[in-house]
Amino acid sequence: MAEQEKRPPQSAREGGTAGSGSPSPHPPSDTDAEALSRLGRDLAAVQERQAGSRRAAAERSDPRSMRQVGKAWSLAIEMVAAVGVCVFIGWWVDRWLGSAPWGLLGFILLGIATAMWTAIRTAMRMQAQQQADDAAAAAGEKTEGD
Amino acid sequence: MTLAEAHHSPLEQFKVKCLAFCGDGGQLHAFSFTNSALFMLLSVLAVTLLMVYGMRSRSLVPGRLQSVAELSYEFVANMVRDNVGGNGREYFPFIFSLFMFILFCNMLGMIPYSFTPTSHIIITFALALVVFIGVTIIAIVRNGIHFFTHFMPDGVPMWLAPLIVPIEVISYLTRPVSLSLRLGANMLAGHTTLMVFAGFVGSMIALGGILAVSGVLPLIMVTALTALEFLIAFLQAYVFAILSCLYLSEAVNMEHH
Repeated sequence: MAEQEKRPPQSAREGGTAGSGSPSPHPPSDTDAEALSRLGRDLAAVQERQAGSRRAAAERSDPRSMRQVGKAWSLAIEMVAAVGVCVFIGWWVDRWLGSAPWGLLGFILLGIATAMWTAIRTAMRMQAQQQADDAAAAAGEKTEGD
Repeated sequence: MTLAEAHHSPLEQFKVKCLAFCGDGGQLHAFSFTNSALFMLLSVLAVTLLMVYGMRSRSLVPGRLQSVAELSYEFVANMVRDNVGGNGREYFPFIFSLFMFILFCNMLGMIPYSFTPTSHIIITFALALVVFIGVTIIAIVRNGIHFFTHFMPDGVPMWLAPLIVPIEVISYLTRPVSLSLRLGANMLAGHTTLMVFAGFVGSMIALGGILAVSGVLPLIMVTALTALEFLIAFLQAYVFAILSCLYLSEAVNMEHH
């Protein structure tokens, strides 16, 4: 990482010395312009590379990918928990009313429906959040670029 | 000592042991002081020490401990402000205590040979129940009968009510379970994984000869996993606190929905 950060300025300097070294025997006016444009091109390339590596590093260390794992986990846990709670209630109702196995069956069906409903609702909320975040990030990048 | 004797099960670390007030054979009863209780007590003491001792000088330019204390205060204060809003200010002490307690339980559990109370579902379930019951009472006190409209979302046709209302009630009852499972399962799984990979180091070295060198590979893995575990220890405390904030926000800001 540190190496990557160090390298681009070095290559920029190399480009600069090559540009200023070659034109010395020639008349200064047009070669200077040439060297200057070459320097400009080099600089743009370096900046591009630097931005790329910075973006990659940001992507790597961004807790966002970690958060995605967390979101996937919480979706799964919510589904399991809904069915689990319903199994418990069904079992308890059966014991209370002596209605085995109908309470358990009914509540498991209800639990599966709840799990689906909760998962879909959570996923939709996550998606809305994600889109808002992306829009905010895009807007932030634009203002940063200007 | 043979290797099998030296080898503990990866689940050994989660065993609740009696430390004081035990029965005759060292068995547990309702008021025994266990290693789980010890680490919860340590966590409470550590948080208290950090806040009271750290803030003792009240200097304008904070020292190291005061910085940490102020940082954690501001972190939770911002969390409550962003997620609950102005109405949630009075619940800040609760969220702060909850967050710091879970964070310190998780972090103390990262010390080798220590015990992680939050890896036990019963502990996290008790914490989640406190949040659940508290939030429900707050919601009923603040909104009265209006609270029950929570189970009938706006814009749902009346003929769907017999289906939607039970689903919403179950979904509401699921909250403490999912809240406690998320924290407990994460801590349990993380610590077990760590222990399994640490066990690989021992068994690979026990192979002897040139193969013993391969013990470095799981060692690298353990190092990486330890870093990940620290992240998860923080993240799960944060997730628990922020979900409590969201539930609280629903209870407090109900009329805005």
